[in-house]
Amino acid sequence: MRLITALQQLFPTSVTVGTLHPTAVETSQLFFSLRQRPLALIRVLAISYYHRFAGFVDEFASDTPANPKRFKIFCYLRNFVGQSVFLVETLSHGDARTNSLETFYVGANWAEREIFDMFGVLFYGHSDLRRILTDYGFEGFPLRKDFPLSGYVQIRYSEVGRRLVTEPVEFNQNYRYFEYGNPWFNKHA
Amino acid sequence: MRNNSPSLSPTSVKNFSLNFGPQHPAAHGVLRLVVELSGEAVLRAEPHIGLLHRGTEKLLEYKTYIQGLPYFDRLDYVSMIAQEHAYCLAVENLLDLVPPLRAQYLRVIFLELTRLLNHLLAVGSHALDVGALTPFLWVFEEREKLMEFYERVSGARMHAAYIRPGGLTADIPAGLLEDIHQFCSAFKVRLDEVEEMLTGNRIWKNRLIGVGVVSAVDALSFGFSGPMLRGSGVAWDLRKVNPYEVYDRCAFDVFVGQYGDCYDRYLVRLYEMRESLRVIEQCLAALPAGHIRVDDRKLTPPSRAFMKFSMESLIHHFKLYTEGFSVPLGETYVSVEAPKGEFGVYVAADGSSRPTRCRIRAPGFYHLQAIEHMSKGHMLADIVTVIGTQDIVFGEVDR
Repeated sequence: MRLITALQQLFPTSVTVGTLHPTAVETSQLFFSLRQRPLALIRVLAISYYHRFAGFVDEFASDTPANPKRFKIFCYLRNFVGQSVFLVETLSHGDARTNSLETFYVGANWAEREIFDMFGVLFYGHSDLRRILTDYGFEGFPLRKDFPLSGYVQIRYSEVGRRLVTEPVEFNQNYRYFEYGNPWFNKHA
Repeated sequence: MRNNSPSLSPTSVKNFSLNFGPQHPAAHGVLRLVVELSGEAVLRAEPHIGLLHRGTEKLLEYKTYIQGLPYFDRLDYVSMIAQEHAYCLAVENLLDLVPPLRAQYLRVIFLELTRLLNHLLAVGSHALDVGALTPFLWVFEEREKLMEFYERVSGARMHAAYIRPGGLTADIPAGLLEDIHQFCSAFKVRLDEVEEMLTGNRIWKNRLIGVGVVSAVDALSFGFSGPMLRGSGVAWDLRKVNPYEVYDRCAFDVFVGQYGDCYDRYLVRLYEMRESLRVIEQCLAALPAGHIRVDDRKLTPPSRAFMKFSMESLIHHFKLYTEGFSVPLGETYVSVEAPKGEFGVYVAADGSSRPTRCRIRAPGFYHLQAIEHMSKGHMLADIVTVIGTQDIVFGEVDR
Protein backbone atom coordinates (compact mmCIF):
# COMPACT_ATOMS: atom_id res chain seq x y z
CA MET A 1 0.00 0.00 0.00
CA ARG A 2 2.92 2.27 0.68
CA LEU A 3 4.02 1.64 -2.85
CA ILE A 4 0.71 2.77 -4.27
CA THR A 5 0.62 6.04 -2.35
CA ALA A 6 4.24 6.74 -3.16
CA LEU A 7 3.71 6.15 -6.85
CA GLN A 8 0.57 8.24 -6.92
CA GLN A 9 2.43 11.10 -5.34
CA LEU A 10 5.29 10.77 -7.77
CA PHE A 11 3.16 10.37 -10.88
CA PRO A 12 -0.20 12.01 -10.12
CA THR A 13 -1.08 12.43 -13.78
CA SER A 14 -0.44 8.92 -14.94
CA VAL A 15 -1.21 6.43 -12.16
CA THR A 16 -4.65 5.37 -11.09
CA VAL A 17 -5.21 2.21 -9.15
CA GLY A 18 -7.64 -0.41 -10.35
CA THR A 19 -8.33 -4.01 -9.57
CA LEU A 20 -7.81 -7.11 -11.55
CA HIS A 21 -10.22 -9.91 -10.83
CA PRO A 22 -9.05 -11.25 -7.47
CA THR A 23 -7.06 -14.29 -8.31
CA ALA A 24 -6.79 -17.41 -6.29
CA VAL A 25 -3.22 -17.78 -7.38
CA GLU A 26 -1.58 -14.43 -7.06
CA THR A 27 -2.52 -12.88 -3.75
CA SER A 28 -0.59 -9.65 -3.76
CA GLN A 29 -1.12 -8.12 -7.14
CA LEU A 30 -1.19 -4.40 -7.59
CA PHE A 31 -2.95 -3.05 -10.61
CA PHE A 32 -2.25 0.33 -12.11
CA SER A 33 -4.02 1.95 -14.98
CA LEU A 34 -1.77 4.41 -16.69
CA ARG A 35 -2.57 7.36 -18.86
CA GLN A 36 0.88 7.13 -20.27
CA ARG A 37 3.78 4.89 -19.47
CA PRO A 38 6.57 7.28 -18.55
CA LEU A 39 10.02 5.79 -18.44
CA ALA A 40 10.58 7.50 -15.09
CA LEU A 41 7.82 5.39 -13.59
CA ILE A 42 9.34 2.23 -14.94
CA ARG A 43 12.70 3.31 -13.62
CA VAL A 44 11.26 3.84 -10.15
CA LEU A 45 9.72 0.39 -10.25
CA ALA A 46 12.73 -1.33 -11.72
CA ILE A 47 15.68 0.07 -9.88
CA SER A 48 14.53 2.03 -6.84
CA TYR A 49 15.74 0.47 -3.65
CA TYR A 50 12.31 0.06 -2.05
CA HIS A 51 10.42 -1.46 -4.92
CA ARG A 52 12.93 -3.48 -6.86
CA PHE A 53 10.57 -4.93 -9.38
CA ALA A 54 13.52 -6.63 -10.98
CA GLY A 55 11.60 -9.53 -12.43
CA PHE A 56 10.03 -9.11 -15.82
CA VAL A 57 7.18 -11.54 -16.23
CA ASP A 58 5.14 -10.59 -19.21
CA GLU A 59 4.04 -7.85 -21.55
CA PHE A 60 1.07 -8.25 -23.82
CA ALA A 61 -1.78 -6.37 -25.42
CA SER A 62 -5.48 -6.68 -26.04
CA ASP A 63 -7.81 -5.04 -28.50
CA THR A 64 -11.34 -3.73 -27.91
CA PRO A 65 -12.41 -1.83 -31.02
CA ALA A 66 -15.53 -0.46 -29.29
CA ASN A 67 -13.41 1.70 -27.00
CA PRO A 68 -11.97 4.92 -28.36
CA LYS A 69 -8.71 3.83 -26.81
CA ARG A 70 -8.83 0.36 -28.21
CA PHE A 71 -5.46 -1.12 -27.30
CA LYS A 72 -4.47 -2.07 -23.79
CA ILE A 73 -0.82 -2.75 -23.13
CA PHE A 74 -0.33 -4.88 -20.05
CA CYS A 75 2.95 -5.21 -18.28
CA TYR A 76 3.49 -7.63 -15.47
CA LEU A 77 6.46 -7.04 -13.20
CA ARG A 78 7.46 -8.74 -10.02
CA ASN A 79 9.72 -8.19 -7.10
CA PHE A 80 10.90 -11.29 -5.43
CA VAL A 81 9.48 -10.62 -2.02
CA GLY A 82 6.09 -11.61 -3.36
CA GLN A 83 4.62 -8.43 -4.83
CA SER A 84 3.69 -8.00 -8.42
CA VAL A 85 2.45 -5.05 -10.41
CA PHE A 86 0.28 -4.92 -13.46
CA LEU A 87 0.70 -1.76 -15.48
CA VAL A 88 -2.07 -1.14 -17.96
CA GLU A 89 -1.92 1.58 -20.52
CA THR A 90 -4.64 2.26 -23.04
CA LEU A 91 -3.80 3.50 -26.52
CA SER A 92 -6.02 4.84 -29.27
CA HIS A 93 -5.97 3.53 -32.80
CA GLY A 94 -4.57 6.72 -34.25
CA ASP A 95 -1.75 6.97 -31.77
CA ALA A 96 -0.80 3.41 -30.98
CA ARG A 97 2.66 3.95 -29.62
CA THR A 98 4.28 3.86 -26.24
CA ASN A 99 7.62 3.65 -24.49
CA SER A 100 9.62 0.48 -24.71
CA LEU A 101 10.67 -1.20 -21.49
CA GLU A 102 13.71 -2.74 -23.08
CA THR A 103 16.14 -0.44 -21.31
CA PHE A 104 15.08 -1.85 -17.96
CA TYR A 105 14.02 -5.34 -18.88
CA VAL A 106 15.87 -7.14 -21.64
CA GLY A 107 13.05 -9.65 -21.82
CA ALA A 108 10.68 -6.96 -23.06
CA ASN A 109 12.43 -7.04 -26.44
CA TRP A 110 10.61 -10.03 -27.85
CA ALA A 111 7.40 -9.31 -25.97
CA GLU A 112 7.20 -5.91 -27.61
CA ARG A 113 8.13 -7.33 -30.98
CA GLU A 114 5.23 -9.70 -30.57
CA ILE A 115 2.85 -6.89 -29.64
CA PHE A 116 4.01 -4.96 -32.68
CA ASP A 117 3.59 -8.03 -34.85
CA MET A 118 0.12 -8.87 -33.58
CA PHE A 119 -1.39 -5.44 -32.94
CA GLY A 120 0.74 -2.93 -34.79
CA VAL A 121 1.59 -0.96 -31.66
CA LEU A 122 4.88 0.89 -31.92
CA PHE A 123 7.43 1.23 -29.16
CA TYR A 124 9.74 4.17 -28.68
CA GLY A 125 13.31 3.24 -27.96
CA HIS A 126 13.02 -0.37 -29.02
CA SER A 127 16.26 -1.66 -30.47
CA ASP A 128 14.88 -4.01 -33.08
CA LEU A 129 11.19 -3.64 -33.79
CA ARG A 130 10.48 -6.31 -36.41
CA ARG A 131 7.83 -8.92 -36.87
CA ILE A 132 8.54 -12.04 -34.91
CA LEU A 133 5.91 -14.77 -35.07
CA THR A 134 4.31 -14.23 -38.45
CA ASP A 135 5.80 -15.22 -41.77
CA TYR A 136 8.45 -13.22 -43.58
CA GLY A 137 6.61 -10.58 -45.57
CA PHE A 138 3.35 -10.92 -43.68
CA GLU A 139 0.91 -8.04 -43.88
CA GLY A 140 -1.68 -6.96 -41.34
CA PHE A 141 -1.97 -7.35 -37.58
CA PRO A 142 -3.57 -10.69 -36.81
CA LEU A 143 -4.73 -10.22 -33.24
CA ARG A 144 -6.66 -7.07 -33.99
CA LYS A 145 -10.36 -7.76 -33.84
CA ASP A 146 -10.91 -6.55 -37.38
CA PHE A 147 -8.51 -9.13 -38.77
CA PRO A 148 -10.48 -12.18 -39.92
CA LEU A 149 -9.71 -15.54 -38.34
CA SER A 150 -8.87 -17.03 -41.71
CA GLY A 151 -6.54 -14.21 -42.68
CA TYR A 152 -6.47 -12.77 -46.18
CA VAL A 153 -4.10 -14.99 -48.12
CA GLN A 154 -3.32 -18.65 -48.44
CA ILE A 155 -0.02 -20.11 -49.54
CA ARG A 156 0.54 -23.25 -51.57
CA TYR A 157 3.34 -24.81 -53.52
CA SER A 158 2.78 -24.69 -57.24
CA GLU A 159 4.09 -27.76 -59.04
CA VAL A 160 3.94 -25.88 -62.35
CA GLY A 161 5.83 -22.81 -61.32
CA ARG A 162 7.97 -24.71 -58.79
CA ARG A 163 7.53 -21.96 -56.26
CA LEU A 164 5.26 -20.82 -53.45
CA VAL A 165 2.12 -19.11 -54.60
CA THR A 166 0.25 -16.61 -52.44
CA GLU A 167 -3.40 -16.11 -53.32
CA PRO A 168 -6.54 -14.82 -51.59
CA VAL A 169 -8.19 -17.30 -49.25
CA GLU A 170 -10.94 -19.40 -50.68
CA PHE A 171 -13.44 -21.46 -48.73
CA ASN A 172 -15.83 -24.13 -49.88
CA GLN A 173 -17.92 -23.34 -46.84
CA ASN A 174 -18.00 -20.18 -44.78
CA TYR A 175 -16.69 -20.34 -41.27
CA ARG A 176 -19.56 -20.79 -38.83
CA TYR A 177 -19.35 -18.62 -35.78
CA PHE A 178 -22.19 -20.26 -33.80
CA GLU A 179 -23.37 -16.92 -32.51
CA TYR A 180 -26.87 -17.06 -31.21
CA GLY A 181 -28.82 -15.63 -28.31
CA ASN A 182 -27.81 -16.88 -24.94
CA PRO A 183 -30.59 -17.47 -22.41
CA TRP A 184 -27.99 -18.00 -19.72
CA PHE A 185 -26.46 -14.66 -20.34
CA ASN A 186 -26.77 -13.24 -16.85
CA LYS A 187 -26.47 -16.50 -14.99
CA HIS A 188 -23.23 -15.60 -13.28
CA ALA A 189 -23.02 -11.90 -13.90
CA MET B 1 54.06 -25.36 -53.84
CA ARG B 2 53.99 -21.65 -54.01
CA ASN B 3 55.49 -19.63 -51.29
CA ASN B 4 52.69 -17.51 -49.85
CA SER B 5 54.21 -15.95 -46.83
CA PRO B 6 51.86 -13.67 -44.86
CA SER B 7 53.98 -10.65 -45.49
CA LEU B 8 53.44 -10.85 -49.23
CA SER B 9 49.68 -11.47 -49.36
CA PRO B 10 47.87 -10.16 -46.28
CA THR B 11 44.97 -12.50 -45.52
CA SER B 12 41.68 -10.97 -44.56
CA VAL B 13 39.59 -12.92 -42.07
CA LYS B 14 35.88 -12.87 -42.71
CA ASN B 15 33.20 -13.91 -40.29
CA PHE B 16 31.10 -16.82 -41.30
CA SER B 17 27.32 -16.74 -41.19
CA LEU B 18 25.66 -20.04 -40.66
CA ASN B 19 22.03 -20.95 -40.96
CA PHE B 20 21.27 -23.37 -38.15
CA GLY B 21 17.95 -25.05 -38.84
CA PRO B 22 14.99 -24.81 -39.31
CA GLN B 23 15.41 -28.51 -39.95
CA HIS B 24 18.13 -29.53 -37.56
CA PRO B 25 17.78 -32.42 -35.17
CA ALA B 26 19.41 -30.48 -32.33
CA ALA B 27 17.16 -27.48 -32.81
CA HIS B 28 14.32 -29.25 -30.97
CA GLY B 29 11.82 -28.41 -33.65
CA VAL B 30 11.67 -25.58 -36.10
CA LEU B 31 14.23 -23.09 -34.90
CA ARG B 32 16.03 -21.07 -37.48
CA LEU B 33 19.14 -19.68 -35.91
CA VAL B 34 21.35 -17.32 -37.87
CA VAL B 35 24.74 -17.72 -36.30
CA GLU B 36 27.70 -15.52 -37.01
CA LEU B 37 30.96 -17.25 -36.37
CA SER B 38 34.50 -16.16 -36.04
CA GLY B 39 36.32 -19.39 -36.58
CA GLU B 40 34.33 -21.65 -34.33
CA ALA B 41 33.42 -19.02 -31.76
CA VAL B 42 29.91 -17.62 -31.78
CA LEU B 43 29.70 -13.88 -32.24
CA ARG B 44 25.99 -13.52 -32.78
CA ALA B 45 23.09 -15.89 -32.68
CA GLU B 46 19.77 -14.61 -33.83
CA PRO B 47 16.75 -16.88 -33.56
CA HIS B 48 14.03 -16.63 -36.18
CA ILE B 49 10.92 -18.09 -34.65
CA GLY B 50 7.33 -18.40 -35.73
CA LEU B 51 7.68 -21.33 -38.08
CA LEU B 52 5.20 -23.23 -35.94
CA HIS B 53 2.92 -20.27 -35.31
CA ARG B 54 -0.67 -21.47 -35.38
CA GLY B 55 -2.40 -18.41 -34.00
CA THR B 56 -3.64 -20.15 -30.87
CA GLU B 57 -4.50 -16.88 -29.18
CA LYS B 58 -6.62 -15.80 -32.13
CA LEU B 59 -8.30 -19.18 -32.40
CA LEU B 60 -9.23 -19.14 -28.73
CA GLU B 61 -11.23 -15.97 -29.30
CA TYR B 62 -13.46 -17.93 -31.65
CA LYS B 63 -13.96 -21.00 -29.48
CA THR B 64 -16.08 -21.59 -26.42
CA TYR B 65 -14.24 -22.11 -23.18
CA ILE B 66 -14.50 -25.87 -23.43
CA GLN B 67 -13.49 -25.96 -27.08
CA GLY B 68 -10.49 -23.83 -26.31
CA LEU B 69 -9.06 -26.19 -23.74
CA PRO B 70 -7.41 -28.77 -26.02
CA TYR B 71 -5.41 -26.04 -27.71
CA PHE B 72 -3.42 -25.78 -24.52
CA ASP B 73 -2.30 -29.38 -24.72
CA ARG B 74 -0.83 -28.63 -28.08
CA LEU B 75 1.28 -25.67 -27.01
CA ASP B 76 4.07 -27.32 -25.14
CA TYR B 77 3.47 -30.86 -26.29
CA VAL B 78 5.65 -32.46 -23.65
CA SER B 79 3.94 -30.92 -20.63
CA MET B 80 0.35 -31.07 -21.69
CA ILE B 81 -1.62 -31.21 -18.47
CA ALA B 82 0.31 -28.38 -16.83
CA GLN B 83 -0.95 -25.97 -19.45
CA GLU B 84 -4.57 -26.93 -19.57
CA HIS B 85 -4.39 -26.60 -15.80
CA ALA B 86 -3.31 -22.97 -16.04
CA TYR B 87 -6.18 -22.26 -18.41
CA CYS B 88 -8.65 -24.03 -16.14
CA LEU B 89 -7.44 -22.05 -13.14
CA ALA B 90 -8.01 -18.83 -15.06
CA VAL B 91 -11.53 -19.80 -16.10
CA GLU B 92 -12.36 -21.11 -12.63
CA ASN B 93 -11.04 -17.90 -11.22
CA LEU B 94 -13.45 -15.84 -13.29
CA LEU B 95 -16.30 -18.16 -12.38
CA ASP B 96 -15.36 -18.19 -8.67
CA LEU B 97 -15.20 -21.92 -8.76
CA VAL B 98 -13.28 -24.24 -6.50
CA PRO B 99 -13.01 -27.84 -7.64
CA PRO B 100 -13.60 -30.59 -5.07
CA LEU B 101 -10.69 -31.74 -2.98
CA ARG B 102 -10.34 -35.08 -4.72
CA ALA B 103 -10.05 -33.31 -8.05
CA GLN B 104 -7.37 -31.04 -6.62
CA TYR B 105 -5.32 -33.97 -5.38
CA LEU B 106 -5.66 -35.81 -8.66
CA ARG B 107 -4.65 -32.64 -10.48
CA VAL B 108 -1.49 -32.39 -8.42
CA ILE B 109 -0.66 -36.05 -9.05
CA PHE B 110 -0.98 -35.55 -12.78
CA LEU B 111 0.78 -32.21 -12.74
CA GLU B 112 3.77 -33.84 -11.12
CA LEU B 113 3.65 -36.79 -13.50
CA THR B 114 3.72 -34.17 -16.23
CA ARG B 115 6.76 -32.59 -14.65
CA LEU B 116 8.49 -35.95 -14.79
CA LEU B 117 7.41 -36.36 -18.39
CA ASN B 118 8.87 -33.00 -19.31
CA HIS B 119 12.09 -33.19 -17.36
CA LEU B 120 12.79 -36.68 -18.65
CA LEU B 121 12.62 -35.38 -22.17
CA ALA B 122 14.63 -32.31 -21.23
CA VAL B 123 17.45 -34.26 -19.64
CA GLY B 124 17.30 -37.13 -22.12
CA SER B 125 17.38 -35.07 -25.26
CA HIS B 126 19.90 -32.69 -23.78
CA ALA B 127 22.20 -35.64 -23.19
CA LEU B 128 21.50 -36.86 -26.70
CA ASP B 129 22.40 -33.49 -28.19
CA VAL B 130 25.63 -33.44 -26.26
CA GLY B 131 26.47 -36.96 -27.32
CA ALA B 132 25.19 -39.46 -24.76
CA LEU B 133 22.62 -41.64 -26.45
CA THR B 134 21.96 -44.16 -23.69
CA PRO B 135 20.05 -42.04 -21.14
CA PHE B 136 17.74 -40.92 -23.92
CA LEU B 137 16.69 -44.50 -24.57
CA TRP B 138 16.15 -45.16 -20.88
CA VAL B 139 14.08 -42.09 -20.21
CA PHE B 140 11.89 -42.62 -23.24
CA GLU B 141 10.91 -45.97 -21.86
CA GLU B 142 9.86 -44.22 -18.65
CA ARG B 143 8.01 -41.55 -20.57
CA GLU B 144 6.05 -44.26 -22.31
CA LYS B 145 4.93 -45.55 -18.91
CA LEU B 146 3.90 -42.07 -17.88
CA MET B 147 1.94 -41.58 -21.05
CA GLU B 148 0.20 -44.84 -20.31
CA PHE B 149 -1.10 -43.22 -17.11
CA TYR B 150 -2.36 -40.36 -19.22
CA GLU B 151 -4.05 -42.82 -21.49
CA ARG B 152 -5.72 -44.67 -18.67
CA VAL B 153 -7.38 -41.57 -17.25
CA SER B 154 -8.18 -39.67 -20.40
CA GLY B 155 -7.94 -42.04 -23.35
CA ALA B 156 -5.16 -40.07 -24.99
CA ARG B 157 -1.45 -40.67 -24.68
CA MET B 158 -0.40 -37.08 -24.99
CA HIS B 159 -3.11 -34.51 -25.56
CA ALA B 160 -5.14 -35.52 -22.57
CA ALA B 161 -7.62 -32.66 -22.04
CA TYR B 162 -8.00 -34.25 -18.63
CA ILE B 163 -8.31 -31.17 -16.46
CA ARG B 164 -11.44 -29.19 -17.25
CA PRO B 165 -12.87 -26.02 -15.74
CA GLY B 166 -14.57 -27.21 -12.57
CA GLY B 167 -12.65 -30.43 -12.08
CA LEU B 168 -11.58 -33.34 -14.22
CA THR B 169 -12.93 -35.20 -17.21
CA ALA B 170 -13.41 -38.47 -15.39
CA ASP B 171 -12.48 -40.25 -12.23
CA ILE B 172 -9.46 -42.52 -12.27
CA PRO B 173 -9.87 -46.19 -13.18
CA ALA B 174 -9.44 -48.86 -10.53
CA GLY B 175 -5.88 -49.84 -9.76
CA LEU B 176 -4.31 -46.71 -11.20
CA LEU B 177 -3.04 -45.35 -7.91
CA GLU B 178 -1.31 -48.60 -7.11
CA ASP B 179 0.39 -48.59 -10.49
CA ILE B 180 1.52 -45.00 -10.05
CA HIS B 181 2.93 -45.94 -6.67
CA GLN B 182 4.80 -48.87 -8.18
CA PHE B 183 6.07 -46.69 -10.97
CA CYS B 184 7.36 -44.14 -8.47
CA SER B 185 9.30 -46.66 -6.44
CA ALA B 186 10.85 -48.16 -9.56
CA PHE B 187 11.50 -44.79 -11.10
CA LYS B 188 13.86 -43.71 -8.34
CA VAL B 189 16.25 -46.39 -9.53
CA ARG B 190 15.96 -45.18 -13.13
CA LEU B 191 16.86 -41.70 -11.98
CA ASP B 192 19.87 -43.08 -10.15
CA GLU B 193 20.93 -44.83 -13.33
CA VAL B 194 20.64 -41.66 -15.37
CA GLU B 195 22.60 -39.82 -12.76
CA GLU B 196 25.24 -42.51 -12.62
CA MET B 197 25.63 -42.13 -16.36
CA LEU B 198 25.76 -38.35 -16.47
CA THR B 199 26.38 -36.48 -13.24
CA GLY B 200 29.94 -37.60 -12.72
CA ASN B 201 30.67 -38.16 -16.38
CA ARG B 202 33.79 -36.31 -17.45
CA ILE B 203 32.58 -35.51 -20.97
CA TRP B 204 29.18 -34.40 -19.74
CA LYS B 205 30.78 -32.12 -17.18
CA ASN B 206 33.27 -30.72 -19.67
CA ARG B 207 30.49 -29.87 -22.07
CA LEU B 208 28.17 -28.35 -19.47
CA ILE B 209 30.12 -26.68 -16.70
CA GLY B 210 30.72 -23.02 -17.39
CA VAL B 211 28.61 -23.03 -20.53
CA GLY B 212 25.65 -20.69 -20.84
CA VAL B 213 26.17 -18.90 -17.56
CA VAL B 214 23.34 -16.54 -16.63
CA SER B 215 23.57 -14.34 -13.57
CA ALA B 216 20.55 -13.98 -11.33
CA VAL B 217 20.04 -10.33 -12.30
CA ASP B 218 20.14 -11.15 -15.99
CA ALA B 219 17.82 -14.09 -15.51
CA LEU B 220 15.22 -11.85 -13.86
CA SER B 221 15.57 -9.17 -16.49
CA PHE B 222 15.19 -11.69 -19.30
CA GLY B 223 11.99 -13.00 -17.76
CA PHE B 224 13.40 -16.43 -16.97
CA SER B 225 11.37 -18.78 -14.82
CA GLY B 226 11.33 -22.35 -13.65
CA PRO B 227 14.57 -24.36 -13.68
CA MET B 228 16.26 -21.66 -15.76
CA LEU B 229 15.73 -19.13 -13.00
CA ARG B 230 16.45 -21.52 -10.16
CA GLY B 231 19.59 -22.66 -11.92
CA SER B 232 20.82 -19.08 -11.58
CA GLY B 233 20.26 -19.16 -7.86
CA VAL B 234 16.88 -17.48 -7.44
CA ALA B 235 14.69 -19.59 -5.18
CA TRP B 236 11.43 -18.86 -6.93
CA ASP B 237 8.82 -21.54 -7.33
CA LEU B 238 5.19 -20.57 -7.76
CA ARG B 239 4.14 -23.78 -6.10
CA LYS B 240 5.76 -22.43 -2.95
CA VAL B 241 5.14 -18.73 -3.34
CA ASN B 242 1.49 -18.83 -4.39
CA PRO B 243 0.41 -22.37 -3.66
CA TYR B 244 -2.44 -23.44 -5.89
CA GLU B 245 -4.46 -26.65 -5.62
CA VAL B 246 -3.08 -28.64 -2.69
CA TYR B 247 0.61 -27.79 -3.02
CA ASP B 248 0.47 -26.09 0.39
CA ARG B 249 -0.31 -29.48 1.94
CA CYS B 250 2.63 -31.18 0.29
CA ALA B 251 6.16 -31.10 1.60
CA PHE B 252 8.77 -30.61 -1.07
CA ASP B 253 11.98 -28.69 -1.50
CA VAL B 254 13.05 -26.16 -4.07
CA PHE B 255 16.53 -26.56 -5.47
CA VAL B 256 18.66 -23.72 -6.68
CA GLY B 257 21.87 -23.71 -8.64
CA GLN B 258 24.99 -21.91 -7.63
CA TYR B 259 26.75 -20.89 -10.83
CA GLY B 260 23.90 -20.54 -13.30
CA ASP B 261 25.49 -22.75 -15.93
CA CYS B 262 24.06 -25.66 -17.88
CA TYR B 263 25.27 -28.21 -15.38
CA ASP B 264 23.42 -26.47 -12.53
CA ARG B 265 20.24 -26.44 -14.52
CA TYR B 266 20.66 -30.11 -15.28
CA LEU B 267 21.03 -30.85 -11.58
CA VAL B 268 18.03 -28.67 -10.72
CA ARG B 269 15.91 -30.66 -13.16
CA LEU B 270 17.09 -33.95 -11.75
CA TYR B 271 16.36 -32.95 -8.18
CA GLU B 272 13.00 -31.57 -9.18
CA MET B 273 12.09 -34.99 -10.48
CA ARG B 274 12.92 -36.52 -7.12
CA GLU B 275 10.80 -33.88 -5.40
CA SER B 276 7.96 -34.59 -7.82
CA LEU B 277 8.08 -38.20 -6.73
CA ARG B 278 7.79 -37.06 -3.13
CA VAL B 279 4.77 -34.93 -3.93
CA ILE B 280 3.11 -37.74 -5.86
CA GLU B 281 3.61 -40.20 -3.00
CA GLN B 282 2.12 -37.73 -0.53
CA CYS B 283 -0.89 -37.11 -2.73
CA LEU B 284 -1.42 -40.81 -3.29
CA ALA B 285 -1.48 -41.31 0.46
CA ALA B 286 -3.80 -38.39 1.15
CA LEU B 287 -6.21 -38.71 -1.79
CA PRO B 288 -9.73 -38.32 -0.38
CA ALA B 289 -12.90 -39.85 -1.77
CA GLY B 290 -15.52 -37.61 -3.29
CA HIS B 291 -16.54 -35.84 -6.46
CA ILE B 292 -14.16 -35.01 -9.24
CA ARG B 293 -16.22 -32.12 -10.65
CA VAL B 294 -18.17 -29.28 -9.15
CA ASP B 295 -21.82 -30.13 -8.93
CA ASP B 296 -23.09 -27.34 -11.16
CA ARG B 297 -24.86 -28.55 -14.28
CA LYS B 298 -24.49 -25.19 -15.97
CA LEU B 299 -20.71 -25.62 -15.92
CA THR B 300 -19.90 -29.31 -15.91
CA PRO B 301 -21.53 -32.07 -17.92
CA PRO B 302 -23.97 -34.51 -16.32
CA SER B 303 -23.07 -38.17 -16.10
CA ARG B 304 -23.84 -40.34 -19.11
CA ALA B 305 -26.17 -42.53 -17.07
CA PHE B 306 -28.33 -39.59 -16.05
CA MET B 307 -28.75 -38.51 -19.62
CA LYS B 308 -30.54 -41.77 -20.39
CA PHE B 309 -33.52 -40.99 -18.23
CA SER B 310 -33.37 -37.35 -17.20
CA MET B 311 -34.57 -34.82 -19.75
CA GLU B 312 -32.94 -32.03 -17.78
CA SER B 313 -29.55 -33.73 -17.96
CA LEU B 314 -29.92 -34.25 -21.68
CA ILE B 315 -30.64 -30.56 -22.18
CA HIS B 316 -27.75 -29.56 -20.01
CA HIS B 317 -25.41 -31.81 -21.92
CA PHE B 318 -26.59 -30.46 -25.23
CA LYS B 319 -26.35 -26.85 -24.19
CA LEU B 320 -22.94 -27.30 -22.62
CA TYR B 321 -21.37 -28.88 -25.66
CA THR B 322 -22.94 -26.63 -28.27
CA GLU B 323 -23.07 -23.25 -26.67
CA GLY B 324 -20.73 -23.72 -23.73
CA PHE B 325 -21.02 -21.91 -20.45
CA SER B 326 -20.89 -18.18 -20.10
CA VAL B 327 -18.24 -16.54 -17.99
CA PRO B 328 -19.02 -13.24 -16.28
CA LEU B 329 -17.36 -10.00 -17.25
CA GLY B 330 -13.84 -9.79 -15.92
CA GLU B 331 -10.22 -10.38 -16.63
CA THR B 332 -7.66 -12.44 -14.85
CA TYR B 333 -4.06 -13.45 -15.14
CA VAL B 334 -3.08 -16.78 -13.67
CA SER B 335 0.38 -18.21 -13.74
CA VAL B 336 1.43 -21.66 -12.66
CA GLU B 337 4.74 -23.40 -12.29
CA ALA B 338 4.72 -25.49 -15.43
CA PRO B 339 7.72 -27.83 -15.84
CA LYS B 340 9.48 -25.40 -18.16
CA GLY B 341 8.79 -22.37 -16.03
CA GLU B 342 6.06 -19.91 -15.38
CA PHE B 343 3.14 -20.54 -17.67
CA GLY B 344 0.71 -17.66 -17.55
CA VAL B 345 -2.77 -17.35 -18.97
CA TYR B 346 -4.62 -14.07 -19.22
CA VAL B 347 -8.32 -14.41 -19.96
CA ALA B 348 -10.63 -11.49 -20.59
CA ALA B 349 -14.31 -12.43 -20.53
CA ASP B 350 -17.26 -10.31 -21.59
CA GLY B 351 -20.09 -12.43 -20.23
CA SER B 352 -20.49 -14.57 -23.34
CA SER B 353 -19.34 -18.14 -23.78
CA ARG B 354 -16.13 -17.16 -25.55
CA PRO B 355 -13.15 -15.23 -24.23
CA THR B 356 -12.51 -11.86 -25.84
CA ARG B 357 -8.79 -12.17 -25.37
CA CYS B 358 -6.61 -14.99 -24.20
CA ARG B 359 -2.94 -14.35 -23.76
CA ILE B 360 -0.55 -17.22 -23.26
CA ARG B 361 2.74 -16.54 -21.57
CA ALA B 362 5.06 -19.29 -22.63
CA PRO B 363 8.23 -19.69 -20.57
CA GLY B 364 10.22 -20.92 -23.58
CA PHE B 365 9.58 -17.70 -25.48
CA TYR B 366 11.49 -15.70 -22.91
CA HIS B 367 14.19 -18.32 -22.51
CA LEU B 368 14.90 -18.53 -26.20
CA GLN B 369 15.52 -14.83 -26.61
CA ALA B 370 18.47 -15.14 -24.25
CA ILE B 371 20.19 -17.62 -26.55
CA GLU B 372 22.60 -15.03 -27.87
CA HIS B 373 23.41 -13.88 -24.36
CA MET B 374 24.07 -17.46 -23.29
CA SER B 375 26.08 -18.65 -26.25
CA LYS B 376 28.14 -15.59 -27.13
CA GLY B 377 31.84 -16.37 -27.05
CA HIS B 378 31.28 -20.10 -26.85
CA MET B 379 31.91 -22.65 -29.56
CA LEU B 380 29.38 -23.54 -32.19
CA ALA B 381 28.85 -26.92 -30.56
CA ASP B 382 27.88 -25.19 -27.33
CA ILE B 383 24.85 -23.66 -29.01
CA VAL B 384 23.42 -27.14 -29.02
CA THR B 385 24.10 -27.42 -25.31
CA VAL B 386 22.38 -24.11 -24.68
CA ILE B 387 19.31 -25.05 -26.71
CA GLY B 388 19.21 -28.31 -24.79
CA THR B 389 19.45 -26.65 -21.41
CA GLN B 390 16.75 -24.17 -22.28
CA ASP B 391 14.42 -27.07 -22.89
CA ILE B 392 12.85 -25.39 -25.87
CA VAL B 393 9.65 -26.70 -27.38
CA PHE B 394 8.41 -24.80 -30.35
CA GLY B 395 4.77 -25.49 -29.77
CA GLU B 396 4.82 -23.00 -26.93
CA VAL B 397 7.42 -20.58 -28.25
CA ASP B 398 5.50 -19.97 -31.45
CA ARG B 399 1.98 -20.56 -30.12
